[in-house]
Amino acid sequence: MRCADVERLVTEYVDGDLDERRSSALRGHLRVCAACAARVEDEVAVRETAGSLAPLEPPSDMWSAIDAKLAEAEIADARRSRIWLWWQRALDGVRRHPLPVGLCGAAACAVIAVWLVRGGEQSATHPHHQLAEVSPEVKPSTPSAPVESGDPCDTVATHDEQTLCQMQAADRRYLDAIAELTQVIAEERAGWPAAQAARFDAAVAELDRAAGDELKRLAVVPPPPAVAGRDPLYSIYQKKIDLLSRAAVGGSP
Amino acid sequence: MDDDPVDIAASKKPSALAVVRPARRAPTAGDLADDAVLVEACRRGERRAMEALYHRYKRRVFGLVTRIVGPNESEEVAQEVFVRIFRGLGRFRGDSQLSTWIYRLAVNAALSHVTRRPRHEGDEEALAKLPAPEVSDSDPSLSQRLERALAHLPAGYRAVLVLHDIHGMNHEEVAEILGCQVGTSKSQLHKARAKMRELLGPALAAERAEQRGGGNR
Repeated sequence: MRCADVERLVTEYVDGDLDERRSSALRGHLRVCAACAARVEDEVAVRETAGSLAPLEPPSDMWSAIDAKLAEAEIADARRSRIWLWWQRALDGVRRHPLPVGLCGAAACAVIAVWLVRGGEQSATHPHHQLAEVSPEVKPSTPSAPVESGDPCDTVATHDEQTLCQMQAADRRYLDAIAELTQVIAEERAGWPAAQAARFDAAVAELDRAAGDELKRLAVVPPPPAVAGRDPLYSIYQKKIDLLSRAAVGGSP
Repeated sequence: MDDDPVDIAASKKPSALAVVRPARRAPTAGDLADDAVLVEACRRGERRAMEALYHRYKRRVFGLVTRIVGPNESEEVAQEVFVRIFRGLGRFRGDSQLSTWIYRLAVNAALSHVTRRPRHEGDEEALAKLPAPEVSDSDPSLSQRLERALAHLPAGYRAVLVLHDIHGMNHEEVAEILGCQVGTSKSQLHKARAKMRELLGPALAAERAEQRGGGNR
């Protein structure tokens, strides 16, 4: 046993984790080496002193402060959107069952990736894109044609009527989405701070005004109905959906 | 219902040849049952249970946090730890002991705080001024010096030394709390104690001299 060995083994020795044979050798070295004996004594003193330190007492009002912070956090939770709460529950599920949820998540990501790639090819990300692709050459224009999709617009008589019908259907899809999101927001909005609610209302009002102006412009456009002519209106609808979606997941409007 | 972190065998004089391991009270079945009952009640939002849980762990959490982050910000960090504990109890699965889980939250919060804040001399000076508690130790001045010397250890060494030597945990528990290997805990403790011996050199020499003087009388 050398002094370097003592330095290497001193912590294990002092903690009683060293095997008996090496402990005996170390003790033998300590009998003839004063420097190493002092080193071991110092190590023991450090450990014993650290172990004898009294616990530190927290301030007497710390519980009150913690209780207040907990109350604050719970009130903030109550103001959060249902989507946020659902998301937190999903995250808890991931933490509890990382493997199955991870596999499901990976599968869902794969499905979304495929859908996005295929969706990108088909340009089907907006309600009215389906309409924009309608072509008189490929769409049957008579009610007797086979109806695979069950689309009521396939049963109308003329191409203009069909285009009009599909534009109205696209309008409905946008407006339904807006109505649904507006309903979700209405419940959350009650808990928003006044300034946040005012900002949100102003942004919604501006989009509503723009949509109203666009509808007035479309109302005086002479027939036949033009698909491309509704693009500005659909762009406004899409902006409103984006705004409502952000607000629904707790983002600031 | 406060329980102290360590039940160290009373004031033995250090000796190189007769190393005595600190006696540490093992958790009893009653403790575990109480913890389980408390956790369930806390999950139901019962304030009295939450306060009882707080009182059970307040000294351990506050002491650990104070010795890692220093006294100036310890209260803020300790409060944050308890908020995380109560808000996270729903995710406590009981795979480990409640105390281990709480220690893990406390150490993580303290180390994150230390690594996040800008490093300047004031923090270390504040930690160095940590008042020595009223100890019944043979040499209060050595305790005080050790408290101050903690400030000069790297945060990782400090955490291991506090958990192992002050809170009386074994390396398996320290490794579980810190999320490291047992060997890493051992090696960090070895380095932490070596640094401590270096920092406390003159005080330890005086301690030795006093013991020899006392022994010779």
